[in-house]
Amino acid sequence: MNCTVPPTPASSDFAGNPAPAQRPNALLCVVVVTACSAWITLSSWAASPPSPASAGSWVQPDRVDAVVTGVVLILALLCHLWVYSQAAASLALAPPVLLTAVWAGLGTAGRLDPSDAVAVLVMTVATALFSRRPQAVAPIGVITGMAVALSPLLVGAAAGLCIALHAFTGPAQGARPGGGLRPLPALVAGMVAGLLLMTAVAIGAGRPPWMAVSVAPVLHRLGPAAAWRHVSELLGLVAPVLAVGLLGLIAVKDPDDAGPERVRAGPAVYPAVCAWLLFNVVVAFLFPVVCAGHAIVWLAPAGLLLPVGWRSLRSLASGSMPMTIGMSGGVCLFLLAVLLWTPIRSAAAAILIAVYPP
Amino acid sequence: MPARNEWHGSDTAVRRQRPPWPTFAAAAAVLIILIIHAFGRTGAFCSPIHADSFAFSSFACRIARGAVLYRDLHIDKPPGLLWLNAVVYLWAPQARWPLIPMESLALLLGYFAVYKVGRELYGRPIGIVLAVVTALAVNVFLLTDYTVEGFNLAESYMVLTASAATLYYIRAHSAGPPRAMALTGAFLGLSLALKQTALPLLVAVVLHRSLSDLIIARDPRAWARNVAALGAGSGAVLAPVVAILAVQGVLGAAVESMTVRALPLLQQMTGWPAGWVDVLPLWVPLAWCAIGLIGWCRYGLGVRPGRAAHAAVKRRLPSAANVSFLLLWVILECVMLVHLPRRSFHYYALSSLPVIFLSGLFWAVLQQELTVTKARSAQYVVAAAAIWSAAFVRPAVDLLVPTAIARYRTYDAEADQSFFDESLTHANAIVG
Repeated sequence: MNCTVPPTPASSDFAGNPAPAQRPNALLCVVVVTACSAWITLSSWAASPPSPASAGSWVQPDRVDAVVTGVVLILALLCHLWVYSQAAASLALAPPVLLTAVWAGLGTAGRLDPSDAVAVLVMTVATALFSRRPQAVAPIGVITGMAVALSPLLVGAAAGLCIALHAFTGPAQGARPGGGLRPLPALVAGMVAGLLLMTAVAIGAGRPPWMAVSVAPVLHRLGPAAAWRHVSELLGLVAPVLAVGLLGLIAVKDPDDAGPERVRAGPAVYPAVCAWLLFNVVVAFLFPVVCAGHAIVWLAPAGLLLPVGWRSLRSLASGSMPMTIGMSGGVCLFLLAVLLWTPIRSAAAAILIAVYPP
Repeated sequence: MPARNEWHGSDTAVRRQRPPWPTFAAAAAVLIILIIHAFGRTGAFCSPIHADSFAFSSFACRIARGAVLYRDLHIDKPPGLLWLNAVVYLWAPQARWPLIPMESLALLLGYFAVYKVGRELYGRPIGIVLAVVTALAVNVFLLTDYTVEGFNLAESYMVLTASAATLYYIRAHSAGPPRAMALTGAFLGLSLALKQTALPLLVAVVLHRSLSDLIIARDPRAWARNVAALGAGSGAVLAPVVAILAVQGVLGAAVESMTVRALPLLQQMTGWPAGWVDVLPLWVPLAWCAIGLIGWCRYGLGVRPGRAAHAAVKRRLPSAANVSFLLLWVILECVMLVHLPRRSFHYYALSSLPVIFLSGLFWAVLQQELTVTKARSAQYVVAAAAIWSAAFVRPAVDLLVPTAIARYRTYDAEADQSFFDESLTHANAIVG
């Protein structure tokens, strides 16, 4: 593959800004990641009701699906950490904590299908690969296609990747003297192949893909008022990550404004994630996001933008800012903790009920 | 005490330096207001509570057919709203729905008046933000009231009259024309003709004018002139009301109903909110208010004088006179809420107005800090403020929309009409 997009420099921010040369505290990282993994595992375990047949036993077959989902989410978290570490030299620990809290809250609040967790994991792998080796177009396409087969909400991610790739390679294609596959057709072909492959696997396993569509009739049964309440409850759970992610979307500079130097210096993944998030915001008005799994998939691009948003928020609250701006940043940090309380409480309540059944 | 020029300031600077404002953003704001209004009014009209709106509409219907208020019908409120509604029933059928257009029009004009106040104080963009916040707050408070149904209450009309009075008072304070003061009085008179809860605004205007003219400016003649204009304006509106009541021979009964019978209600309980949940739509404006006031004190009162940036910011902020007036109004509304008879949310619809007006300070200070300091982070400062505000406004929207939908789906038009017909036989009403 002869793609003109250079790899992301390790010393640059996710948004292309120079990152501070700070090394994370390794021990603290290990402790935080372990705690996050434990929280996800516990909440996944608590999310499924215990089987009467296996009451009293810690190994309950009915809970295997939920625990598998938890394990997949932990892998997705680690994958996010990899993307974050590609994006910034110093790894802030707040983004993974935010992501963990929201995932655990969603997992305990509603139906979380393992396929949704796998879709997030697969798409994060594709994004991570795109951020580090954007010239590997065909494998990225195949992985993205597989993810789309698992969840239709990831069509936005696929579109985002195409837009990003076109933005990077479009002007260069005409100048290329020939030879090698064109990146965009190769990416699309890879996506189609991945989609067909995963669809075949899913049908072969007796689990038709895009089960999410089957949720739509539930929305009609609920009625508009109850559906609104249901969706708003999910929105309350995802609010911390969505707020910081949206801030990240706005905080990063527009690549078009900064010219080709900025584009070359910045990671290729940024426009893809931005387009994905914008697509998801639009699709939220059309698609019935009524279960936790949909919310996790819908939230995925915001999760990838967390480091930029978090850094912006921290910089707002710094002492060097004018008073009102600094105070606004401080208040936003405080309110972020308030927003975080909702998913944490949801997960904690489910865990307590599971450990001490009424 | 601040010097005269610091006290009066000049809000014209704000108007001169309007930033370019995209038309689509204004159109989006208007659309949001209309959507909020539609949900709020639908939910209020279809409320399962059958109380004040039935009393007001049935009394108005009977007044249109010749009944005399305070003689044939007894109510502890001023006659303004009932007479206004009676005009509709001169040609409309006997039902509650004919009042929908009038109430909606009054509220829409009320949002526009709030926008005008916001534009006068802070500029056009912030005026639009304040109008959206007002639409949400008023509709949520009127919809979620558990004591009355929130449709066709005096508060729906008083958003317009109180905001208009504020607008002309601010103009009178900046330029000082007696005409503006007379118009302030006229709108205060209209508010008082609708409901007694306009009293805090009247007291705030009189107290603030006295403070400004007698203590700050030490100009008793200006004070006399302003008070005379205020009295003339309110008198011009209230005199016909008094005259009609006198001609009908019920002036004494009316005064007794509005004072002697209404005052004991104040000793019943309190209208002060029991917790933060009661003032859900005001979470964001209150936070804006707090940050904005701190920022404004720092710049507006010259806590850190001598720095060029601070001086530049200060020049573009609302004057001390206007901020002090709004603060005084907030305090008086709080005092009134403590004494109101019950924890009924429709009271908060009007009491929240000065808080909303003050909350624009946050955006004004932020805007000016960004302009003066030319901070690189300008776009994400505004983005963070907007996103976090949206996150905390969401609970109010989540209360408004499903409630309105659920009420609309369970609304029974025939039952509504039969209850209205039954309420036509009542002769007394104690309304909220």
